[in-house]
This record gives sequence, C-alpha cells and structure tokens, in this order.
Amino acid sequence: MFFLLLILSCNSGDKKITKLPPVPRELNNINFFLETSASMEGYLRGNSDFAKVIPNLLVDIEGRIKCKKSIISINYIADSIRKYSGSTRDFIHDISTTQVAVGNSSQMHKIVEAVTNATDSNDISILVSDCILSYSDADIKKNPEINVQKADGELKADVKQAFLKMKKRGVCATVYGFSSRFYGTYYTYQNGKILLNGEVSRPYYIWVIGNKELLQRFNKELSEIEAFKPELAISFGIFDAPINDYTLLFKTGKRGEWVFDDNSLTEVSATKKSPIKFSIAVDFSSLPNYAKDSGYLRANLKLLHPDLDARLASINEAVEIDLGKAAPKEKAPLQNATHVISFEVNELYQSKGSVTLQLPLRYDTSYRNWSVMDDKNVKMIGKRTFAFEHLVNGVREAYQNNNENFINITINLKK
Amino acid sequence: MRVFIFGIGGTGSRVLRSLTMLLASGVKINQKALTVIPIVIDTDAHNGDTSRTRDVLRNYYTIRKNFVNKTVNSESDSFFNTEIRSFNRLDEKAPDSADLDVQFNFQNQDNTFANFINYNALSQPNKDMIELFYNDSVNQFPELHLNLSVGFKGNPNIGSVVFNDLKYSQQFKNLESSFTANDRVFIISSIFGGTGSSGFPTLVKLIRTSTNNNLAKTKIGAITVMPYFNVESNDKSAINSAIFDTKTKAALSFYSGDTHISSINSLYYIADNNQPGSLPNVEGGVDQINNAHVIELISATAIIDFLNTDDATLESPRCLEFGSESDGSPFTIAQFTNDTKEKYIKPLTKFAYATKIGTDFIPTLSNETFYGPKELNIDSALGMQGEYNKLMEFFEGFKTWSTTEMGSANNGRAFNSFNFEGSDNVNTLVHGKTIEAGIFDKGLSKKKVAAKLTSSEVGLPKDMAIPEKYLTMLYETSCYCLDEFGQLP
Amino acid sequence: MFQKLYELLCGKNDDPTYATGIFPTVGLYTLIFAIVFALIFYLALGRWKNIWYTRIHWVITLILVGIVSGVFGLFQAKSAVGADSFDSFMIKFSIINAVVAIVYFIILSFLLKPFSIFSKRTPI
Repeated sequence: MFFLLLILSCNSGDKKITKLPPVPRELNNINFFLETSASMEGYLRGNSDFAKVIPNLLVDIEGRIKCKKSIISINYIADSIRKYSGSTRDFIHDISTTQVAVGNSSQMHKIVEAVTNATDSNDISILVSDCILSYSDADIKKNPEINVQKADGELKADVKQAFLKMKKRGVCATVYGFSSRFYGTYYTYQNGKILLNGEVSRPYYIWVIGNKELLQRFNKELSEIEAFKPELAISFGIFDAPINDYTLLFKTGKRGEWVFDDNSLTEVSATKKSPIKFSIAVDFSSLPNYAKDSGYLRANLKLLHPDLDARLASINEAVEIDLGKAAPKEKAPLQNATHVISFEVNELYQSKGSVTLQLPLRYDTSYRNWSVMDDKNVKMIGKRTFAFEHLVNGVREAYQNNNENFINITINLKK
Repeated sequence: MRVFIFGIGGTGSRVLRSLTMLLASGVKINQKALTVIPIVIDTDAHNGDTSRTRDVLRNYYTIRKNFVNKTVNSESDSFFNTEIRSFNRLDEKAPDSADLDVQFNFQNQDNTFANFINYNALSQPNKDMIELFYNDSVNQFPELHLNLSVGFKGNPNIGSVVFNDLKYSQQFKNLESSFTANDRVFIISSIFGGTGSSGFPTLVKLIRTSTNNNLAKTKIGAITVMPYFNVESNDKSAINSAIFDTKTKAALSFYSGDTHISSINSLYYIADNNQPGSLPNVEGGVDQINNAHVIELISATAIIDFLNTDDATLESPRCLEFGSESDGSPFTIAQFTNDTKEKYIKPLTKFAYATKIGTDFIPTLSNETFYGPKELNIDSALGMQGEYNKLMEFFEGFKTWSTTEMGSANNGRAFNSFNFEGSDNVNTLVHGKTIEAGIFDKGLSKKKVAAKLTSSEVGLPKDMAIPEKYLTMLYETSCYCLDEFGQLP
Repeated sequence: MFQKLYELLCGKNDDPTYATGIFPTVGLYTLIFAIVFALIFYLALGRWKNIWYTRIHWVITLILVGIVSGVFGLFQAKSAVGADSFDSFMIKFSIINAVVAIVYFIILSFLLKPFSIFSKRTPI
C-alpha cells in the first residue's frame, strides 16, 4: 500500500525555469532634427502637406509617446546642428511663418553622421530630410555629372560608413517615406534650379534612429498614431534573432504513420507509396510585412533535408484553418499562429533526420521605386528622389548579413 | 483402562443412554486410554428402552469412527472423545463389519420359568418345595408359569435364579477370561423393578467369586436407583408403583447384610421424592419405553465420578449420594451445584449448541465459506451421506432426550434444560438465562455463529479429514458460544 | 507499460496527451482501484466480519470497480485533452478501461482469495 502512495506522489509535472523579464530600456530623450538646406524650403511653403503633417506629428509624438524628458529637443541641421531654443509650439509657429531653410546644400552623409553622434544610447532621434545625395556646390561646379558618377561609389560609401558605426553601437534606423506638394525651388543633381508651385508632390523622409529595443518600441507607438501613414517604411537592423519556434500539430494535417513526441516526429514510417504529411503552426508576426506575405514565403522559403526525401507541401495562413476540426489542444497554438506550413516526407534514408526551413534575411527593395538618377525633368519623374536608391543601399549594406535568416526552423524526425 | 458397564433392566438401559449423551458431549475422564464397554442385561429381549439405547450406542460408535481423530481419547477436548467398544469386538484385529453388540443373551428366553428350572423333571418333594415359594397360577400374577421373554415383571425371586445362570453363558465366560488387572466394572440397576433388583446382587456375587483373580479383585462401582417415577395404576398389570417403596425397603435390607455388596468399592444411591405425574403402565416389550428422566442423567454422572476416582481412594469401600444446590420442580440447571455444572452441565450445554447449530443453522448457511464443495461440502453431506445422517440423527435424539423427554411434566420432576426453538439466534438455548440482544449487538445471532464457524473452519489444517474438520469446527464454535453465554444460570 | 497496453487495446490516438499522460495515469489509477477494492473485499472485510462476502456481493463489487474505472477514465481523458465534450475515442477508451479493471479485479480475486476468511471461496 505504501509503495502505491509513493508512485502516486512522483507525478512528473512540467518544470519550467522562468526567466525574469529583462528590465525594459527607458527612453530618455527624443531629438528632432529638421534639415534646413535650401532644397527643403519648398516643403514648408504654401499648401504643402508637409506643413500639415510635421506639426501634427510633433504634437502627437510629444503627447503620446512615453519619454523621460517630456519635451522634444528640436534642432535645425544643415552644415551643423543648430539647437532650437523655443518650445515645440514656437517651433511650429516658426516653420509655418518664417523662412528657416536657408542653409547650403547639405551632404547627407555628414548630416547622418552628425545626427547619430548626437544620439545617446537612450535617445531616439528623428531626422526629417529630402535625402538627396549630393556633393558640395564647389564639386558640382567642377564636375556637373559628379553626383551621378559618384553616387554609387563615394556617396554611398560615406553613408555606409556612418551607418556601420551606428550598427556597432547597437543603433538601428527606420526610414519612413512621405510625399508633399512642393512650393519652391527644386535643385537638380547638376544644381540646376526649377521652380515648382505645387504641381507635383515631392517625397520627403523621416528617419528614426536609436537603440534597437527603443526603436522597436518607438516604431510600434508611431504606428498607433492614426495620423501617421507613411507611404514607405523600411527598418534596418531591428530584426531580432531568426524565428525558430514552431508547434508541430499532432492532428491537423496529419497523414500517414508517425507519432508526436515533444514537437518532433518519431516512429515515422514513410514510403513513396504512402508518404507522411505533417503541419506546423508558426508565428511570423515579428517579420516585416512583405516577409509575412504567403506569396513571398512560397517564393523564398528554402527547405533543407539532407537525410530524407521531403518537400514543402503548402503554406497557408492560420486563419484559413478550420478550428472546429482541430483537436482541443491545437486550438491555442493555431490561434497564436500566423501561418500553417505543411510538409510531405517520402522516405528517411537514415534512422533519423531533419527538415530545416529557412528564409534568408533580405531587406525590402521596394525603396528602389522611390529613386531616380536623372531629375532634370523633375515635373515628370513622379515621387522619386535623386540617388535615393544608393543612399538606402548604403544603409542596407551596412546592416545586411547574408548569413542571417528571418526564419530558421528545424524539425527532427526519427524512425 | 477398560470399564465394563452393566446396565441391568430398563433403568440400566436408560442410564446407559444418558451416559452416552454425556460422553458424546465430551465430558473428560482422567484415565489413560479409557475404553467404555456397555453391556445391557435384560431378559426382556425386545424391550423398547433397550433397543433405543442399543441404537444410540451404535450411532455413537459410527460417529466416533468417522468424525473423530484416532488420537482423541477421554482426556481430549472433543465431542465423542471417549472410546466405546462392544464386548465382542474387544480384540483390536476383529473386523468391524457387524453392528455393535451391546446385549448379553439369555438362553431359553422364550420359555416359562418352570421350564427354565426344569420343574417337570424335579422330584415331587422338590416340586412341593418350589410351590411354597412360587405362585403357580397361570392367569393371576403367574410366577412358576411366568413367560420369561418379558422379564421378571418385578419379581426378584424369579430373577435371581435366572441370573445365576449367567455364569454359564459364553459371553460372560469370554469376559471373565479376558479381564485384566487394569479393568473395572460398573453396575447400574434399579432397586424397585424386577430385573435390576435381582440381577444386581447376583452379578456382584458372580464377579467376586470368579476364578479370574483380576475379575474377583477388580474395582466395582455400582448405582442403585431407587423409585423416581410412578406408573399409571392398572389392575391387570403386575407393575404397581404403589408398592415400589415396599420393594425398595426389602431389597435395601438384603443389601446391607450381603458381603459381596459390601465389597463394592463405590456404591452410589439415588432417589427422588414422590412426585406427581405418571408414566404409561407397560409391562415390558417394545412399548416399555419411558421418557428419559433427570435422575437417569444424574445416575450416569456417578459412572463418570467412579472412573475419575483413583485406585487408592477406591481401596476401602464407600457409599455416595447425590445432592443438588437447591430444590425445584420443574428442575433447572440453576439448581445444580457449581461442581455438577462445571463437570457435566457445561459439556452438555456445548453439545446443545452444537446440536442446534448442526441441525438448524448449518444447512441454511450455503453462502458461507465452509459450506462449499471445496471446503466441507455440506450439500453432499461431507461426502458421506450415511454417516452424516447418523450424526444428525444423534443430534435430533439429543434434542428429544433433553427437551421432550426430560422436560415432560409426566416425569414428575421435569428438567428444563435447553430450548431448541428459534431460527435466528441461540440466545435462548439455555433455560434460565437469555443472552441480551440489542440493536447493534444481536447476541449469538446466526450471523455471528456463521462467522465463528467460518473462521474456525478456515483455521483448521488443510490435511485434516473433512468429517473431522466438521466436528472440530462445531466443537470450537460451541466452546465460543458457551464463552459468549458466560456463567450457567 | 500501461501506454503499450492501452495502445494495443484502444489504438493510437494522434493527440500525444494520451500516450504521455492519460494512458499511464489512468492505467495506474485503474490498477490501484482494482487492488484497493480487492484488498478491502478479501482482506479487510473478508477477515473482519461476514457482512460483505458472498458471490452476489462480489459481483456487485466487480461491477462497481468497472463503473468507477470507466467513469474515471472518461473524465480524465476529457480534461487532459481539453475537450468540451466526449468523443468516440474517449468513450471507447472508458469502456475498455472498465473491462481492464474488471479483469484486474478477477485476477486479484483469485490471488487474494486464499488469504481471506469469509470470502475464501468467493466467487468459487
């Protein structure tokens, strides 16, 4: 009788070592930098959308986003940083009424560098700029084509260097693209002047720079601001570790003979005539939107299967799965999943093997649509910025690591 | 040791019957290897009492042979512990096939007394002498012309002559020759009848004058039963209980002067004052079958007392009487002394429990462990239908003996001992004290008895024979019942 | 061990909870129920008083063991799997478990019988 009691008490329960959540990094300061080179003037005049968006954004940021210092520290930036001493309301008034864009043509990489240097580890810096890569006026005078010739080379390299330094400090960047009617002088890559009076909308960009954790949070809070609707949004360096979590579904999508064992398959018996099928539920919500797209996934997911004959059968969105047919214990993982991926295995060559699902980390290149290399006919080029592609390439190359994966999921199988 | 117990006449038979009941109930006797050899002496060959006693002795023998272990003896704790043998089966090697013989035969029983003494061949002067002593009428109380086949009808003058002839019977000669120094004799007789009062002194004389020294010098015990019942008055009958006392006086005065009777080592006397009530007046034959009487039971205890007495004490002859603690009519257990109760009534009570349980309870307990075919196999009568029936018969006989007969008001002094009524419990088995039963404790209920039977039977060794298990189980349960019952009233 | 037994009798279920949780737990508890009932019947009651010991009592106890085990298995399966209602596999499992319990009890009866007093010859 005593032994029976002993057996009963040895019920193995789940033992998890709970890690204490790390203390969140506190946002101390938001720095705002407005580029005030002459090319920016056109955004501030007249009935521009810029003049509507930026003031509202400032107010929203200051009001909603949690920051230790409740007031944004506002700066002008051209050749150098000029701190604005008034309040945010004063600033809004000033940019609406006075002419502030009086600087010379700015060199992007220098601006970026200045901004990053001014950004402390617990700061977020916001840079509003037209992001036109350009050499100095003197250099252009010497060689009018210099911008076109060297955009890909020195200009890009300068930008890259600035961002590489940032990356080392754990600082990342997000670029948001907007467009606004332009009322002013547009300077072409040859430094030619074209006067625009609101006939076209010109793109402008808001860079948000800061420590990875702060930036992730800031971006999320920005997305909650209703008025904040960027036409372009690309983040660099904020992606965490690749996703390797998955939940093997023991009933949904199961075909053939295998047994669920601790998120792996055991007792697999598969032949060409009767292959096995299994599905996993995955949560890709931390991926950038383009990477979450089923079409993108189908096109770009790689399957590695060294010891067995397998193929990717299908990729579905989790909401497509009928929860009514799923087993009770599958409902929670399915509800938390974004996608359900199905595999088919014909044969295990060895007694055990694995399938690995990988999605290489590639930054969205849709920013290329915002770039143009000849802006002499600015009224006809649409919403494109000169050499924007190279600017962003520089950033991208600073952060991209070809060995990184968005997704790296390995599922083990055993006979 | 062997003890030859002579039961003379009707009284002798009835006392032997009571003795058998006592032995069946497991009364202990402190003698090593004791064998009881009952001998009924009665010229009334078809006497009803004698037949009944013979049957009960035969049953005892059969039961003991089948239900009791070979090692059990009179000192053991068991029912039917004491060995009883027939006088013609004393040889160990004798085959068992025939039924037990208990009666000495008299020659020429179906004859008149005149022919017995060869009257016709006597000379005339002898004939005349004889006629002086004996009535020679044919119809009215014949003596010379008495047909001996129905006994002496209360005429000791005839009896003593006939009894003397015993000396020449083969059975007596066999007994005489096989008698050893370790054997004893006990004689039961009534003083007021015919067979008893004449046979007793004659038998004692035969023993004391035997050529076998062992027999002549043997320890003799005897009980002389004086009047204890009346018979209905009947002018046509030779038996008249009104003159029982007269006859007693005559016999007693004879005994006091007789040397042989004085040599009896333990002479027990018992009598009972005149009690109301009378038994049917039957002169002999199968219909002379009287109800058992408590006096007979007490007489039987005398035999046991004699056997429990050691040789040294018996050296000088002694006389003994019986006393009870108090008087009572009807008589109950409470009236006996503690000594009597301890030695004799307790065993009888145990046997009464066994009787009740064996006949009424056990056949209904088919759900109990001990009942099934793998245990005692009660349904198939333990696998021995005949012997099992004999035991049940014995039990039924015990019931009748103790209740219907001894409890009968016609006995004069009725003895209320046991009560076998009731189907749920044995709380009222003993007259004079009931076991209390409440809501939770139902006393000695059938359920409780069944539990004891089961636990007793399950505890017995596996290799024990089934009938032996049965009787042992009954014995242990009866002891338990008696313990639960507590003190006798 | 219990897992293998039930998988043999009921078949494998996709939900791993059966193999890892339900089968071992229910298997063990069912065996324990059968042992406890048998011990009580034969050694506790069977040696104390003749109140619950006949063949009819045994049959009732047998049925009781079956019912208790079956119901236990049914509810245990439902709660472990997290379902809202009983499905056919659970019902099959509970019936098979009842039968298993009955078989345990019968075997235990024959093992414990000799040590009993009042139930020594129950059922036969």
